[in-house]
Amino acid sequence: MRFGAIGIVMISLFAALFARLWFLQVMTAPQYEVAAENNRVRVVQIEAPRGQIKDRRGNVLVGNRRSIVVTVDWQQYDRLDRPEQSALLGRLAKALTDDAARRAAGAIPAGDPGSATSPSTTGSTSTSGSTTTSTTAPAGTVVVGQDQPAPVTADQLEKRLADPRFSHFKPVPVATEVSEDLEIYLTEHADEFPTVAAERITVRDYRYGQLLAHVLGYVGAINSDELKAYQNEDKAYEEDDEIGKSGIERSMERQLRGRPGEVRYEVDARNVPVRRLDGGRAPVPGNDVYLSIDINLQYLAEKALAAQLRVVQTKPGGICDTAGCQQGGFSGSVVVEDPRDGTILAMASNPTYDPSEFVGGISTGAYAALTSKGNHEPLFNKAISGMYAPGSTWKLFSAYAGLSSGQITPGTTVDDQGQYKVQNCDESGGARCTFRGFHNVKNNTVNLSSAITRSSDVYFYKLGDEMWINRGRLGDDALAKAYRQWGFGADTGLDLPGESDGRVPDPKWLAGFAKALYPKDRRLAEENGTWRSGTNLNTAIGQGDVLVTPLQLANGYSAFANGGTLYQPRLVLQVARYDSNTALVTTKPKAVRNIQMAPDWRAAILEGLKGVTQPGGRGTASATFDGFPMDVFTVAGKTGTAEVKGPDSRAKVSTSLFAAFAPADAPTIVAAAILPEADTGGSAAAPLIRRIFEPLAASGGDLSRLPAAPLGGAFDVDEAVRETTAPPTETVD
Amino acid sequence: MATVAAPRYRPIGKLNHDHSAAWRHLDLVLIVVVAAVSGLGLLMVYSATRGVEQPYDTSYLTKQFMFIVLGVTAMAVVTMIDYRKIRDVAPMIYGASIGLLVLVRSPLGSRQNGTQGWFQIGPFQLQPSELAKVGLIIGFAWVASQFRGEIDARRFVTLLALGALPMALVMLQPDLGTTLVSAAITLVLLVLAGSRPRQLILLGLAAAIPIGLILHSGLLGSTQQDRLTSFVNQDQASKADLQDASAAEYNLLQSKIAIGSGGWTGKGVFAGTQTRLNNVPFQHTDFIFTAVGEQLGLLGAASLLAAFSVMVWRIFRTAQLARDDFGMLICAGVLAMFVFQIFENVGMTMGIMPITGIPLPFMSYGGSSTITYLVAIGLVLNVHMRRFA
Repeated sequence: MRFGAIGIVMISLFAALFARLWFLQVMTAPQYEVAAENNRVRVVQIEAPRGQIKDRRGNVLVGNRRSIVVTVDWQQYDRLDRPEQSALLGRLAKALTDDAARRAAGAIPAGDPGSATSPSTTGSTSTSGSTTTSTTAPAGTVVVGQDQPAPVTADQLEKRLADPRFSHFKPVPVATEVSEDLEIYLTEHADEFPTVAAERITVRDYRYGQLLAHVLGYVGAINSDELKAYQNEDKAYEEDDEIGKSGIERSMERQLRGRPGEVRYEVDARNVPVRRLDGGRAPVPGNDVYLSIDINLQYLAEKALAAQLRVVQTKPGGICDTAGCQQGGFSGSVVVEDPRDGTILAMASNPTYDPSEFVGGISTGAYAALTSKGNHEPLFNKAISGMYAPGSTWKLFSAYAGLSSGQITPGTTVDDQGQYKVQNCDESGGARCTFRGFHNVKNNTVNLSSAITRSSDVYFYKLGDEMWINRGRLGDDALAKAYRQWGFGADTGLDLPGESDGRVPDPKWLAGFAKALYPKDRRLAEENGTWRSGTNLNTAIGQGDVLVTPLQLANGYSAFANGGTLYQPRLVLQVARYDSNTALVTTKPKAVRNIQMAPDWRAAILEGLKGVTQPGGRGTASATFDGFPMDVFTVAGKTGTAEVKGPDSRAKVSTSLFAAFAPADAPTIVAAAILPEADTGGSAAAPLIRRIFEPLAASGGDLSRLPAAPLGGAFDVDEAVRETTAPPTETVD
Repeated sequence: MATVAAPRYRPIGKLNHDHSAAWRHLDLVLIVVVAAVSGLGLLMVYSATRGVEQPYDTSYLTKQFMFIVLGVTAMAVVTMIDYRKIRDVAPMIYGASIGLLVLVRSPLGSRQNGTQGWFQIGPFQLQPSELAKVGLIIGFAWVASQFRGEIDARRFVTLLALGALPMALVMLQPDLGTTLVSAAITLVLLVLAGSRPRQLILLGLAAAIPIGLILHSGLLGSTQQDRLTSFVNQDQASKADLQDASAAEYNLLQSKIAIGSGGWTGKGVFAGTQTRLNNVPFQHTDFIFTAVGEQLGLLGAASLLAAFSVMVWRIFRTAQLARDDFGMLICAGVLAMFVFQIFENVGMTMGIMPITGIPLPFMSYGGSSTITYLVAIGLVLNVHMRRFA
């Protein structure tokens, strides 16, 4: 009986084992087969070279070059004894420090073994990135090639090796941009430096140095947010991969990024690769991006901007107005656009920076310097992000508002005696009733054209006042509606990240703004949030709460220049495969809207704008364009001088603006420049534009005949200051 | 011995009644099964230890082969000596095994994986807890057979103490697995020695208290605690990332992956990736069943379990056929040892039993264990062939 019981127990136990075996090996086997395969195979990504960025003529603006990076193979390093490890790191630290010192002293050149073979010129099937040399340097690498080489310590190297950002399947980079001498030294003394290798990697190469830095942008190591946002199966990202951080590098990231290659390894339980498996794939370089930028014009624009800022900065005695004399000319930007299709030909922002500073990682200190207010934020693209009061450049759009609302006709005249008294004004209510024109200049009887040419504030004060009086018929936001027609108050949709909206104020906005400003005090909110006649007056002359970006200004003038088509401005012309010129994507002009202008309206305004630059005339930029070959290259434009208050409510030096197009009767080019704290439009921004238009006039307005920009993009600012025939005059707005 | 063929002209039926030559009653089926399983064990140990690339490591294969040769020799010796003569020296065998268990706690013993349970003898390690299982069986059978099925309370306690003494010493090492095997042996022997049902029920109730105490005290050590928790929390463990798993969770997950991925027919000998890449820790010792499951699939693993069933059946049958209580109890003890070890070991690799360090008989790599099991088989063969005389 007892044997029977024990027998039954035994049979049940074995039955349980058989059942479980069946469950694991038959019913759930597929899941475990997958798990076993994942256990066995590790896929290591080989980063592919990024695509090139070229200008409209195919000049390479950003390519790739080889750089020498020193790496440590962690897998092998880990097998060394502790004393061996520290001795090795000590020797390596010394070699790196010596190399950095010698390079800083100029004894040997920084390691650039020649630029990488351009992938687009290798017609053969060999992809230049099929070897380990195609990996790009992760940001944060210890850059030993800086001005004052801090000694590299073994401690730093050890930290670097332990840094979890670096995959232990790939050699860990410990120094970039080392010299070829060091590469040779390390190779020849391989026995002293086990596990250490000097590898040639691909990094971004900025062919024109600092030129176009803000548009091109820079690349850096991907962060966790980007990893989530950009992850995709075809072009997978890994922890320390490069990604475009700003500019075109960022907005065209999906095209520029290459398709990473894959190497499959079989690994054992400790994750040590045992052998390389078949399969995998070679990396494919990213697509090339063609910009609408003309690098030769860009060179002119940047040179002109830098030169004009230098002129303002070095003005003897500073810039003087009623508030006294102050320094100015710290920053500025210029946008050049083709009005026929909205393509951007040049875009410059100053102060600027060197994107190659970001190659291989930028130090926190250097990055802070590039974003500091004290340095006027060199990293910040003021051409699209900067917001400024437009001043009198605004009068073009105010004129349109008056004409389209029927408030004025091209023949409407006003007697400008230097100041304007608001109609039906009740001074007892605390409102301001008398508005003075710029410097109280008396222009006497002006019609629309001459009001633009001489920049009569009184003409537009009256327009603003009467449009407010007729608000019952026109609407209290009639001005704002007209301005928005021209693309103001919203970003233009340029294919570059970081654009500002600008601001077109209207009564509704003002009330909300004041409410947000004084959330506790209803009386103050109401007092400051009420739109009065005066507000309309200020808005009409581009003062008050109006803000525009240089790009919006250029785009608005382009719409006028081409007869009323507001285009969405763009920078990318086409995207092409790295190994052929076949376009994968071609962008087309995109008209946002057509602005209806009667022929006589446009003619009157155009006449006024032509008068502004008329040499010998009474225009606000007549003196600036004295001697300019208007007969071959007619320039029409408008100056602007915006009075700005600083944060302490003290008047700052005025913002200098100028927007122009040429040839006036068949415009092919529009330029807008804004220089904050730089005095009147005629004294700073207009001469800047003249500096750009002079060589253009010399080439008959043909961009393709402009002198070629030198590789490296360097210029001497003092020399550039002298490169103009413009008279050093001061004009009024 | 197995190769000695019976003369052809004699009818086989007559062999059973030839009392003069005990070796003619050898259990050939048991011998064949043990030989087959040991051979498969050699192959599996080699596949689990030879490494990824040439030159392949054959050291484990050679050593395991040596252990088997030593074990077979010991088995032959044990088989030849009449087990009734062994009964005469039973107290000495039991005493010696207890002595070794005490000695291993002294500085003479060495420590490994948190357990002090080995004597280091040159390149070899002697694990007295393995030998003590046979010592326990022989000692218990010797005492219990004198009681002739009349078990009063005092006798019950005496028998219990016989089992508890080696269990306590092994627990101190600590070696939970071997303790549990000894417990299983003691329980089966108590049942077959004629204990009253009431005594067994009381024992069951009383055992609950020390088991609870052991689980909640620190006596188990962190490794064993971890193994038990990972068994209880298996569902979570299988979902958990291998990187985050505790050692035991990792072991169990890798073990299930190896067995599960074997499928119907397995990946072929030397072609199992889990086994070849050493993904399952202890795959040549306690987790050798994963090598079978992955490389030979359901076909191989089920055949192995079938072979074990035959082995167990032959031992069970011998226990029934034994001519005296001593022989019966020896076979029953060996039976309990094998059944428990096979179930616990195979069960833990498949996640239906907690992980404990118990080898799979004739499959796992190891000297002390292989020799012990072959000696145990020798005892069964001994009882079997002397069932008439």
